[in-house]
Amino acid sequence: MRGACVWSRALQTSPQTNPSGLAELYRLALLLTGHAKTAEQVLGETLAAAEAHLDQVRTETGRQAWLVQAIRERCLKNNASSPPAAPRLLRTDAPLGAAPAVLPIEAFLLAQRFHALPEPERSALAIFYLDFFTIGQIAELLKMDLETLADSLTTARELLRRALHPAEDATQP
Amino acid sequence: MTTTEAGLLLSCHRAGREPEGRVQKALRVAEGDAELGRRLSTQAEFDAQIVAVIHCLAPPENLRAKLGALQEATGGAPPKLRSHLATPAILAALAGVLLFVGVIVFFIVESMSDFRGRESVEQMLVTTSRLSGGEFETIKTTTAQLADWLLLRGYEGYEAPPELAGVPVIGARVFTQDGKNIAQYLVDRHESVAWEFRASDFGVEAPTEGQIIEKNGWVAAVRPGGEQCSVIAFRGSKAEMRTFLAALPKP
Repeated sequence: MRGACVWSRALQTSPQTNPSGLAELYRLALLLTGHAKTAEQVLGETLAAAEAHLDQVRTETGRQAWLVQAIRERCLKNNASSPPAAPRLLRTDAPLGAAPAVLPIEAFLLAQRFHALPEPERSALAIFYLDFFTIGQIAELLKMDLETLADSLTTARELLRRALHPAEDATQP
Repeated sequence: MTTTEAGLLLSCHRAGREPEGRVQKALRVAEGDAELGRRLSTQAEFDAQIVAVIHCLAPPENLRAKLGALQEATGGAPPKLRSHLATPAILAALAGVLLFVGVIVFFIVESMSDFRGRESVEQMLVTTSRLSGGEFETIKTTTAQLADWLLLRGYEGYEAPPELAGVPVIGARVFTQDGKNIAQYLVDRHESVAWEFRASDFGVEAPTEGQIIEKNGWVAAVRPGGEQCSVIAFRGSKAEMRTFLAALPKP
C-alpha cells in the first residue's frame, strides 16, 4: 500500500522503534481540529506534501518537527475556515480515566474541548502531550521563549480544566 | 531562581520526562516550597489524566489504508513529481541542461549568420571604423558613375549595387588590404561608408542571403551573391541596419 509505505518513510521509523508515531500525529490533528474526519484529511494532505521535504531532513526529530509543524499549520488553516462549535459539556458522572468502554467517547469529547482552546495555548498543550519533543524543542517549534511557553501551558491547562469540569469551576469563589 | 519564576516554569514539566535546564532548577526550588510542591502534584495528576484519555484517541484500524486512498484521490503522484523538481539537485541539473541547450542554440544561430571569408569582411569593418574621413578624396558623383574614377585609381570591375544606384557619393578612395584593392566611397545616406572588392581576392564566398555583422559599434550589411562583393556600413546597430535596408529601393 503506497500510503503506508510513505508514512513509514516519512516517519523514518519501524514498528519496532516507534510503533505509535502515526497514532501520535493523528491524535495531534484530532486535538487541533476536534473532528476525526478532518484529522484524517489533514494527515492525508500532509502526507501528500511530506515526501520531498522529508528527504532533505536527516534527523528523526527534524522529520517529526516538520510533520508536526505542517499538521499544525493545516489545522489552523482549517480552523480558520470552520471555527469550533459550542462545546458540549462532558458527562460529570463519568470521571476521566473511567472504564475503557467509556473512554473513547470521553476522549473524543476531550478533543472537542481541546479544539475550543485559543491559540497558541491549544498547540502548545497538544504538542506538549505528544511523546516526540523536549520542552526546549517545543519552544523552538512554536517560536517562543521558555517563559512564554510556560505561560501558554499554564493558561491552556486552566482553560481545559474549566471546560472539562464546569461544575467544579462554578462552585469555586 | 525565584519562587515566582520557578512556579511559572513548573508548567513546562511533565511527570516521567527528564527535566532539562531551567525546568530542572525550578523543580529543585519546588522541592523546598510546599505551595509549589502542591501545585506540581496537582498538575502532574491533571496531565496524567489527560494523557490517559488522549491515548484513547486511537486512530481507526484502517487509517493507513484510508491515507493511501486519500493520497491517491488527491493526486499523490503529481505532487511527487513537482516536489522532486524543486529539489536543489534537480534544479541544478535542469539549469545545466538549459545552459547546454542555450549554447547549442547560440552556435546554431551563429553558424546560420556565418559565411566563408567573414573574418576578412570584419577586418575591413574594423579598418573602416577607425577612419577619420580625411582618407577619402572629395568627389561629387553618384554610385552609378563611379566606375571610371575608380578605374583610374587601380580598381577594375566596379559594379554599382542596384539598391544604391544613383545615390550621391561625396568621397572615395582605393586602398589595399592583404595586397588586394578595395574600392571604398562615402554615400550620402545615413552617413554610410560603402566598399566593394573582388570576393575571390579575400576568399569570401558572398552569402546567398544578405548578412549583417557588427564590430566596434559599427554595423555592416554584406550584399548577397556575385564576384564583386558589396558592403555598406555605418555606426549603429543591427536593428538600425535592417530599417535602413528596408527603406532602400528594391532593384
